[in-house]
Amino acid sequence: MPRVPPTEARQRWMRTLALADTEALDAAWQRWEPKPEVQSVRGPEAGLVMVRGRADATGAKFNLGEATVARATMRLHGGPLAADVVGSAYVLGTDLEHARLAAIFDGLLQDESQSDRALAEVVEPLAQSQLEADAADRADARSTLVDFFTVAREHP
Amino acid sequence: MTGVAGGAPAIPSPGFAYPTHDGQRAFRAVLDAMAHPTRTYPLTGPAQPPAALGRGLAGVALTLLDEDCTVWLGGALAGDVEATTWLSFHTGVRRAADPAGAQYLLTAPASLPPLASLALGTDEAPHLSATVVLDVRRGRGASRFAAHGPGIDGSATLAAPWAPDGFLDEWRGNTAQFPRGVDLLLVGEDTVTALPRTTHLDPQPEV
Repeated sequence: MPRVPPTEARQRWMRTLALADTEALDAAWQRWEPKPEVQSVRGPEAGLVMVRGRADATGAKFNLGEATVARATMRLHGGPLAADVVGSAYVLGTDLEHARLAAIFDGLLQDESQSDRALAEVVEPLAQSQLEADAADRADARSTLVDFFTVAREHP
Repeated sequence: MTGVAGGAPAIPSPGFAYPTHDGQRAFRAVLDAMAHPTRTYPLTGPAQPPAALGRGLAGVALTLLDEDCTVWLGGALAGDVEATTWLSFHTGVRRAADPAGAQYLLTAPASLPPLASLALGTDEAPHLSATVVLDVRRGRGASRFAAHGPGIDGSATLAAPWAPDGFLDEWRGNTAQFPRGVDLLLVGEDTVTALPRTTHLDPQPEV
């Protein structure tokens, strides 16, 4: 029986997978040996989701607009897996391959025997590079920061 | 197929290979069947449906059901984990506990509730009635009916090996309530036939 991962841990790796480049995920999947068999249960397919918001986080809900989302659900079986697992992914945008790869890694991460390896080899390096990219962006923005100040003038 | 071991939730098998086109084709088949009651149209379902549904029922479910509607499952279907997981994964449909409140009923003829007990719509809004999707893969009877009504040129013969005892009387009760009443889809492994509420049935005279 597949181990049910804690929700928080899964949220963290889904975030990392969703923010990762498709190329980086593809490279990681190419390197992954031995591979399990992958069967598509649904998708990858693209569609729309309605993004809803609240003014100031307290107002009534309103529809902000629609966003394109790619989603995939993949069944992994055989190979190195302890049991059959299902991985799912929803990724903003229309990159179907991104959703497919993210769903595959979500499946691997849920498998007892593959989880630690996937965390160490795929998720951690991706999360690290995302942190570094964020830090670099912040540093870039910081250098253009302008401090406005007003000198109070005394009128005679 | 997907194995269910140790009480783990079943992994749903894939739906349509090409969701848009396969869905449109199945919808067209249902539409044609509704337009020409008693005629049988070919229907293509997903390649690996849950065994309890079969290709035909699975195809109709994928085409007609979504998260905005409710479905009641009859007989063995209701307790079949593979089929219920598959339905909720692919269609997002909500299960109705009571057949009287359901918009769709998926069932074998043996567990079909009395038609008069289902949602019949109202005279102002007859479209709120239930659609019954009957699994007619295992019909053993010898019933034959003569059908007439809109969409039928004159009269047509409907072989109904699936019809439970007393079906004819129930159906006459259903057509008598027009514009209220339920519509029937007779779905086999690869075929669909419709019996909308406008179709009148009579016993087929022996020739």
